[in-house]
Amino acid sequence: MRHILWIKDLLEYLGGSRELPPEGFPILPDSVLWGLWWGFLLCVTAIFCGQSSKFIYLDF
Amino acid sequence: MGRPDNTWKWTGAFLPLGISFFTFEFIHYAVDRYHGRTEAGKFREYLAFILFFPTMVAGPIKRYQDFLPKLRAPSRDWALDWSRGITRILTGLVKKFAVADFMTALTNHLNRSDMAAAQRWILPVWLLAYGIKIYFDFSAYSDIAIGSARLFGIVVPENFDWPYFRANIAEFWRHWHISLYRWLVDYIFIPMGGSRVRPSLVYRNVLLTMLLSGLWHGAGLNFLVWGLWHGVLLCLHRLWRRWRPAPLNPTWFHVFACWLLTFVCVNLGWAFFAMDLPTALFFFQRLFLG
Repeated sequence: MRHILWIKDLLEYLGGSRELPPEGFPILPDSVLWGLWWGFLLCVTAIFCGQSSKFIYLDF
Repeated sequence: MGRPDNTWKWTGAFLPLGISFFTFEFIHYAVDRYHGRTEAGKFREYLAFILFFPTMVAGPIKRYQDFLPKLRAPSRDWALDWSRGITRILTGLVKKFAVADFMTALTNHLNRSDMAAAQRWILPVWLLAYGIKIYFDFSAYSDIAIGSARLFGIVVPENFDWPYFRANIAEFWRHWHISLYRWLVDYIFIPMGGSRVRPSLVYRNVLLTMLLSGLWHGAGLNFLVWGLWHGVLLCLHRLWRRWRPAPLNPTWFHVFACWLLTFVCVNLGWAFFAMDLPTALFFFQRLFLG
């Protein structure tokens, strides 16, 4: 259970919804980590963005 | 927008973007002011509250008493706010483009002709894809809204907290579209008596609240049935808990079985959300009867 909670905390930290990383993370200095992570997220966004559609909840 | 000959029948009426969200904030402010639960604030503060662009279009639904202190004294920790805000926005974009929109290839099949031609085993896959799509789509929007607000040093309420990992329907609703759920509880369920009335009235209150939640999501009969579905599930969960209180130390099997049941029920409910009522009924007919 501890491992599952650690992974959840890590995902929340990498997703920007948690302020502090779980114990034992990060290995890299902050700026390097975030540079790599933001670059990765931007690449994924760029790869998939051609199929965009509107948000489901936008016209309520 | 068009006006036919009969001027009383206005088809295709124009509705402002986000009306259902900012209307809830108006109601919250009016009711809380009436009960003296929040200060009036200055007019420009009220305008900032209702016109706060990151949350205006699709939430999260804010509370004035929470928002006002943050507006008056926003965070000055720019490095942290921008780090968290940008990360949140980028995560939202990935969730939307790489997952939610990717699922559209499957959810597009949720129509009568495709379902009639398809093999039965694929139907739950399409519905599951819709469940994944709606979560990633709306939570992505919330991520972008929350991240954008964070760039101004303002923290707005969270909307999702791992809802699909919850082990009962009441827990699911406490973690799915959290700001709407809390609004429904505070401004519909509790004013009707909440759970402090006799049991039959509690069930009535739950059903009415969820029916209204369904109506809020859309004017179609399918949304009403979706609300009713969740209302019935919440009532059944309440009845079950009265009969069999939650164990203090549940086994892994117990937790897994509860999670699976909740997950299946929630995903079956999405059929009424994704399709109009006749198509949803046809989906269930094909799924269960072949």
